[in-house]
Amino acid sequence: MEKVKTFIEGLDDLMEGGFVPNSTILLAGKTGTGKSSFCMSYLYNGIKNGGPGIYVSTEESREAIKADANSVFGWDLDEQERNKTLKILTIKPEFPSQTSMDESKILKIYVYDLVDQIEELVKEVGAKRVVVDSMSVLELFIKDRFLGRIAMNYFVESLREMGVTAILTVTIPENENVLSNLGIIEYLVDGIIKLEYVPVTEEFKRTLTVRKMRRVNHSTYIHPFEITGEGIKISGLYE
Amino acid sequence: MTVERASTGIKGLDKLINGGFLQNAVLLVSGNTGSGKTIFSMQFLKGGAEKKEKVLYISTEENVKSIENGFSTFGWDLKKSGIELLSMSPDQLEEDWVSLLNTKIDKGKVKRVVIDSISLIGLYYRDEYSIRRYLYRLISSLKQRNVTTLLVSEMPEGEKKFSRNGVAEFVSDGVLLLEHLGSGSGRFQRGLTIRKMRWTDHDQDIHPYKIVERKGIVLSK
Ligand SMILES: Nc1ncnc2c1ncn2[C@@H]1O[C@H](COP(=O)(O)OP(=O)(O)OP(=O)(O)O)[C@@H](O)[C@H]1O
Ligand SMILES: [Mg+2]
Repeated sequence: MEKVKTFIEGLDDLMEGGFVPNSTILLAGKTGTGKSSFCMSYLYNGIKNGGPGIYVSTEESREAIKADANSVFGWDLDEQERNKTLKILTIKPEFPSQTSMDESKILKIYVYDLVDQIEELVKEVGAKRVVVDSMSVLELFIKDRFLGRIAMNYFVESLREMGVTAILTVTIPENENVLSNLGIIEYLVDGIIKLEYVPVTEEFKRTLTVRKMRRVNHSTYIHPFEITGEGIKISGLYE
Repeated sequence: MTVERASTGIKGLDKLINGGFLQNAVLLVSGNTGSGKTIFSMQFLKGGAEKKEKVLYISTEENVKSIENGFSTFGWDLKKSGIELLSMSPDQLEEDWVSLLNTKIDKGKVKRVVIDSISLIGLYYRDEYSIRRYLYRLISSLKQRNVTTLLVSEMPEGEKKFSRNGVAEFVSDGVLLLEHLGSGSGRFQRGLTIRKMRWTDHDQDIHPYKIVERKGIVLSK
């Protein structure tokens, strides 16, 4: 099986060469742990190696995303967009004005719309990689855990059917030892990578753990990583 | 009188529970995500299939093809092993789910069954009470049959309950806990604990285990 390489320095070796093609990976971490940089690296490295990608944001504007990529890594996403190797999509959900609208309907409409728009772009540029940053907004809309689960499962299944290898992010609430707000999405995805920002002796260190990876003999160690001008870099073992 | 017990298929586990699961027991396999619930359950079925028993795996979310493919990269050929896979989503079948399942078990003379997972069961009931009643009905009807059942249940990180609504653990005959343990040593571990096993003098310790290609769940010595 040909793996989908992240080309993130040191990461592919932790999971037998990369992501399983067509799988959906959850990237979980608290605010400021490096999730967006990770996602950007995954897409950018893919583009450099010949695979177009889609960046879906449910929180930030296109301009903010481009500006971030430029200031942190010096990457010019405008150029990628012109070459049709990258598409940035911003879909912020809106709470309806009438309170009478059924919560399950809003969720359904939003998720269907999200899937439609992503699918269109995937076809347009022949994308192989998709990033959805983040799923936490979607979780806000969920009142009923059954319907929420079905909606999220539909979303994950749809991504698999599009033939892309996707990363979904979730923001873990501060002071909590959970993998997502509702505790559902982590069971539906094929893999989980957890990012943390932890105090080690005198300073804070960024660490990465491969928490689950179906079908893969992956590392179970905690790995420190850095965000450098060229992207993310795993820096060996944490002793 | 010796009672009949079904070997768990996991090396070293039988001796912790007097030789295996009671033959018409319903057991809860509860655990964090990625802890190995699916692999554990399939290993139990594989053990039965090797003894030429009829065994059935029901998936409520993943499709059959992707389960087969997944296990084939793990080194297990489910078709060849004689494990019947069925994708039965509770959102399609509503109420009839239980009777459909029971008919399937009775007609096929199924000896071992796995439901992976019970999270969506009860979907069509809007209130907690009805969901509980439905789960109760499902479990008691399985107990009346000549079949050993594993129900896969999810335990969100940081929670103490063995299932989402806390019902299945009371009604079931036993609870096996598959936990993702912290990573004090710079590396995370997994541990198995038997939390409940009716009519069985069971071990209480936590047993570290590994997941190994081809072998499945391997308890550490
Ligand atoms: N070839 C392998 N070698 C070693 N470990 C593996 C291998 N394949 C899978 N694993 C481990 O097994 C885990 C998956 O096990 P399994 O699917 O049984 O978990 P689960 O508890 O059912 O998870 P989920 O919550 O996703 O349903 C992977 O995260 C990985 O750690
Ligand atoms: Mg599973």
